[in-house]
Amino acid sequence: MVSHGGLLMLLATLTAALFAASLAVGYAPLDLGAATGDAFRGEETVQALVFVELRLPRAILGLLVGFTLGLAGAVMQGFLRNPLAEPGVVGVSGGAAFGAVLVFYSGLAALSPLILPAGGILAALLVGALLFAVAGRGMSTTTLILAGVAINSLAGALISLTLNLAPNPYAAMEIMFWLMGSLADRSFSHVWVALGPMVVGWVMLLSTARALDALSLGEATARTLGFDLRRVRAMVVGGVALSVGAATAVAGVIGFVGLIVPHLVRPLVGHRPGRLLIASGLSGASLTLAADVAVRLIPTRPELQLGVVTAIIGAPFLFSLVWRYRRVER
Amino acid sequence: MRIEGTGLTVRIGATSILSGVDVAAEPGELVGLIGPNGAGKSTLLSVLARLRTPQAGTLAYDGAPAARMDGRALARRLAMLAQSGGVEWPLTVDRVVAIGRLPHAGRFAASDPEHDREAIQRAMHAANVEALAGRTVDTLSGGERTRVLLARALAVEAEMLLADEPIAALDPYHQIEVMELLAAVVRRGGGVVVVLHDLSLAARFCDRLVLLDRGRVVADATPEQVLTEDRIAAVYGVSVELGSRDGARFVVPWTRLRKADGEG
Repeated sequence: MVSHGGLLMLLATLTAALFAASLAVGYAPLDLGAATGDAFRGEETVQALVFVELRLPRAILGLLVGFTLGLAGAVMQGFLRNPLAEPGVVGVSGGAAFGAVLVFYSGLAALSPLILPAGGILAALLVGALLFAVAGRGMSTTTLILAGVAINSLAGALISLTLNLAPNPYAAMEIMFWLMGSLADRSFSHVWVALGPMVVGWVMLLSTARALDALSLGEATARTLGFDLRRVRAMVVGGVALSVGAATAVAGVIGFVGLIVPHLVRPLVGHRPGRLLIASGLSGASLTLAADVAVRLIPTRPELQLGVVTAIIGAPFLFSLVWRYRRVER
Repeated sequence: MRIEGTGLTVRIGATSILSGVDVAAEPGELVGLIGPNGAGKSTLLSVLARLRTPQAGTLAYDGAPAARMDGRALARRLAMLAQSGGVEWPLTVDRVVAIGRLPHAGRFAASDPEHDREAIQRAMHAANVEALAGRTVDTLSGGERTRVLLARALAVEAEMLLADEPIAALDPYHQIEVMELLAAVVRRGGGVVVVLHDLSLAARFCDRLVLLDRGRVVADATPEQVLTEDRIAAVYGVSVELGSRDGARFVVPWTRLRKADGEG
């Protein structure tokens, strides 16, 4: 068994390698060395443009979005002490997508590029608050999933409504973009609008690490260990809303990363919820980057959407978890 | 740290759970909290731990209003062993015990890792779980798990330990073992308040018993003074055989004196 520091180094190296792979893979043939050289010298060659305008923002967004999803999943599972909690499953991603769609459709997005992530974040915050109001404290797996189903249905219905009312097929196409998450054709402007809220969200989520350790002994014990659970809950809901809301606003719904990754990583950190956070974030980044490399290598045209791929991998994984916990609940 | 509650009153909706309870506990004493189901024992314990705010009455720690004490400071001075304490993830025993050191941690890292390690070792030794250190909690028996959670609470090194029915699910051997562990905590200078249902073990191990009935304190004295035949009949509704062995009273509940609802 490797030490915790060793594990994090390993995961960071893996993430860096996949980040490099994401830069190297694409449709236009690109000499990576020459392109970076040109870009650094400020020469506007085609190579440099492909690298700076296409490859680099796509890879950076893969890293940021993946880290967000892995971290948010780990925190939600630790806080709710529920192995099925995840931004996608409980409806935070769906809600954020609707928020972004609403902002886009209403034309508000034209006012400022910051309004789009703000719409995603606000909607995610609303969903988070709704989730806790509906399901309350110490919610069972069943309640949580039911609340997620209800919220996802509502978000789906509202997005369908906007699709239905879309003035022309192009608007409908644009809206579909948030339903099937993707990192294709993103620019640095997407990176810049999402980066701030994501990093603030990460800090809030990482600050809950010790409380999550304490919560593994139940709420009463966590409180007698000196943790103010209302504050912890605010950090969890706020942090998830900021980071996942911003991620969804620029990349659409990329489901199940936050579900799969904590489960795979948990045994490697001795199941400690606090230790899981950074490891799960790095693994989420790795998985997202790897999936995004894969969609470019798979020879389908049009390109497979990243969110579709993670859902196709993730949904059976969710099914297998439900199957496993079905026995425990009875 | 001396804990003192005066006139503690808790209502849930129209139902009174505690009505004007006066109770005190301090280091060097093993206090047993006894009474029938629904008497308010667990509620009283959670009020004493400041987990629940009473609608009326005052709670004081060392003579000062309890609300004034900082949450983390309190967490270092008062530990609680919650009822039916489960462990959510398959953590190893030493890591569960280490959770007891969280109130002592600095902002970003352990403030005194050496002392933390010693405290964890001492707690595991005291609760006799050293041999289990590397096992994961999901592989433990009920008795082993109770000892591990007790070690977690001891690792806090608090002056006061509140334990809610720690022996309810244990066989006689492990019940005696846990009671001996609590008595040892008191011998080392700590204070313990423990909720119990077994009157014989309560009489044998506790220095003082507080008997609750329907949210009121009916008696608060030595086990011999509290556990009389008449009082047990009045509060619990059972006749008992009283005896004594090695200077300690034992109580054998025998027949029900009240008819249950809908009977006869």
